This record gives sequence, structure tokens and C-alpha cells, in this order.
Amino acid sequence: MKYQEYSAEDFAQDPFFCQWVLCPDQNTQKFWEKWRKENPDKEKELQKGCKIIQVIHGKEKEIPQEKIDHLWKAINDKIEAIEKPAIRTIADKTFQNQWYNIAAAIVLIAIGVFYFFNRPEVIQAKHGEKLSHVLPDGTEISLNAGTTLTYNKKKWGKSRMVHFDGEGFFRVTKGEPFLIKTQNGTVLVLGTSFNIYSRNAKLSVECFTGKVQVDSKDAAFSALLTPGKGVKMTEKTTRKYGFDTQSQKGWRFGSFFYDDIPLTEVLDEIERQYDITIETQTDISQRKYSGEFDKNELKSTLDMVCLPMELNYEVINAQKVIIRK
Amino acid sequence: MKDIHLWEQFKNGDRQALETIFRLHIKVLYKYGNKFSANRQLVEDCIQDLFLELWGNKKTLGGTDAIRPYLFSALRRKIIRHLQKHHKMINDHIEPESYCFVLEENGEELLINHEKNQEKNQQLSIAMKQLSTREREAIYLKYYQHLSYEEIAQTMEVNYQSVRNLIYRALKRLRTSL
Repeated sequence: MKYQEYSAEDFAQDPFFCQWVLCPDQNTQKFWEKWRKENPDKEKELQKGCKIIQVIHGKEKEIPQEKIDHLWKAINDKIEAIEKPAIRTIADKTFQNQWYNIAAAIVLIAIGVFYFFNRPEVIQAKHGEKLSHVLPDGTEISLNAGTTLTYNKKKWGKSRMVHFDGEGFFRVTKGEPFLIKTQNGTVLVLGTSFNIYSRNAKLSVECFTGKVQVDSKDAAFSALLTPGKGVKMTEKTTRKYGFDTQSQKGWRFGSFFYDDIPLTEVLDEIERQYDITIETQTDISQRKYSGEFDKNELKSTLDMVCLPMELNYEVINAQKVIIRK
Repeated sequence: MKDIHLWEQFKNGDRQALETIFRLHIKVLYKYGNKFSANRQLVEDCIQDLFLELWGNKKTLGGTDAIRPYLFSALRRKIIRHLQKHHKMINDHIEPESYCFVLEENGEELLINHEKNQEKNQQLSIAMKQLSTREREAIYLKYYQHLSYEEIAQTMEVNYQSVRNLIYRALKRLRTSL
């Protein structure tokens, strides 16, 4: 019988035991009384289990019915208000549809004109290049290869907000909150310096000075980073970690460091750094790379990555590399 | 009616179905929400938001055969986000999972039959202080709301084994403090 092995914690989790403690009936009463007699050595654990359940079991005060009705009415009224314009007769609709179309066209033209005069600044670091950019507030940004930064100069006075895709190092001037929107989540800071990486479905942020708040796209996760702290978010996981802010490593210094990172991600970085295309003729989707390379010469970089992974490569021309088994 | 059918009806735009869902779960949702914050207005606002969003997004929502944990986790996220926004920028270190979960109550929230229960409440209060926020929440969901381990996992957005560990750890700590 399994109960012989039970500790108090196990008893407290057992539904049949809980039933006996909280609302005993003939069946449970009979079973447990008998079991107690037969297992006097377990009496202490059983008592403890009882005690735990009795203490943590609780009933709460019910909320009054008026409150429930009131809450529902508030919700229903709001839905009502939202849906009202949709209730219209069909004749009405076709007639109004024409006006809708005209109105829509006018709105579109207006948006177009507005957009033309308010078109955003787009700063792009192409493959093979690194860029520095200074925003109107004096914030300095270094952009790694294959990175796009978009912001609106006209609206800059009102709010500091940029759209960002790729990897970059930000040195943010102190002032109003500074917001970075990426496809994987948002980063909110006051005045700090930090590194951000947002590519594919991965967002990672490392804080060097000040404080940085990172929120995932669906707002399920949020992290506040202090200097020396970083966070990595993918669709499924979030991981916080520490790093050395003094280290002269990283893409800004031309060195790339990986710890158990998908090989595809590493090859993507090489593509961006050297502005080449890498074709893989063997399945590497599940493989991970730990190691580092410096950006100096393509062949030595490929050696650093391919040799430990037991892969062969061939440089076809200045734009193309093939990787095989 | 089964959850899965009720949910389908609601997704097809049946407001009666939404009301049924609301009335089936509002009591426990409200109580659960109140454990995160004693501010009833905030909890009520979050619940309102939650149901309005459900209605607004009904076309794009996925199916579910377990409505309660779905609502629990949605409300939980909402309230925690709400509370964090208040603290954001003011507080120094907000961990991603920082929130309060208060179980031991001043006797108003929990039904107490005086005397005998006064003592019990005191014990509960002392015992609960030994637990971490997450352990308290897991214990609450299991022993007050009677959710299954799977449902608790879904609500707290962690995996099944973590829930088992949380509860086991909590019980172990309670055992030594009683």
C-alpha cells in the first residue's frame, strides 16, 4: 500500500486524505481509522498532514450578488457602446458605404500627405559596415552590421522613441523616458548605456550603466536590469544573467563571443559582418556553437567556427561561402 | 455545458455565452485578484478590462477547454502588470516576477467562526509568512480554489513539475513551522 511510504507532505496532497480531514464520510472514516490502527508508526506523519491541511484550508467570504450584477452591467454597457454603430439596416449600409469609401479615400490622402511631411529618419547599417549615429537629444548609438534604426525627428521633442531591428549599443542622454520598440518587445530607459540585440525572435539586452526596463512583446515578461545584468528573451524562455561591463569584448571591439548559441545565429552574424552569403549543404539546425572569433580576415573567422564544429568550408568568391560536412 | 462549447459560442459572438462565462467565474476571479492587491477598484477595473478584451478579441482567440485557468492567468498577468507600472521608475529593483500575494487576512476576507478559528488564523498567518509569494499563490490555488496541478501550472505560467515542486516545498516548510 502506497500510504506506508507517505510523509506529511504527501498526505496533505492526497485527495482521499484531504476528504477525510475536511469532510469525512463513512467510507473515508472507515478506511483511515483502520489504517491508523494498522500503522501506528505513521501516526506522527499522519497527524502532521492533518494539521497542515486544517491550517491552510480556508473559505473566503463571498462577494455580494449586487456587486456581480453591477460589474456585469458595466461590462455589458461598454460592449453595447462599442457595438452600436454596427447595428444598421442593410439599405442604410449600402448607401453609407459610398460615403465611407469617399471618406476613406480622403483620410488615406491626408495620411499620405501627413506622412510625407513627417516621414521618419531611417538609419541603416548595411552588411559589412558599422555606423555611429547621434540623435537630436545627443544620444549616441553604434549600429552593428545589418541593423535598422527608425525615428521621427519632428516628434522627437514630444517623446523619445525609436524603432529598432538588429544590434546596437546605446549611450542615452539623461532626460525623459527613452523607448526602443522592437518586433520582440520594448526597452525603456532613462539615462543609461546598454547593448541591444533584436533579430528574428530573439531579444537580448545588456545594461552597462543606469537602469533598463525590458518588456516582451506580449507583455508576459518584464525585467528591470541594473549594470552588469543582461536578459535574453526568446518566444519560449526568458533568462537573466550577469556579465562583466569592463570586458573589452563584443561586436563594438570587433570580437564576437558565443556560449552555446545556435550555429545558424553565428553564421548569420558572419554573413552580416563580412557582407557575404553562406550556403550550408548539411543540416546544422540543431547544432550549437561555443567559442569566439575576431573580425579581421574571413578565412580565420571561418576556421574559428568551422573547425571545432567539424565542418568544411569553401570560399567560392568574395560574396559566397559554402559549408559542408 | 462543457467549457469547449461555451467558449465556441462566445467566440461566435454570443453575448449570452460571455455572460455565462462571467457569472460562472467572477466569484473566484474576484477573490483571486484580491490576493494580489487589496485595492478593490483596481481588481474590478482589471476584471472589466479582461472581459472587454475577451469580447474585442473573440475572433482571434484560440479555443480552450479549460476556461477557469485561462481567465486566472489572464487576470493575474493584468494585475501584476498594473501594479508594476505603478512602481516602475520609482522602485529600484523590480524583478520580473515581483508581486505580492497576501493570504493571511485580517479576518474580514476569510470566514472565521471566532475563538477556535482565531487561533487557526493566527497559525495560518505565521505559517504563511514562511512561504515565498509563489509558494503562497500555489497553495492558495490548490487548497482554496481546488485547481489541479495542471490548472495551477497554466495559471501561473510555469510547467507542471515546477508546480509540484512549489507545493511540496511549501508543505515541507509549513510542516516544520507548525
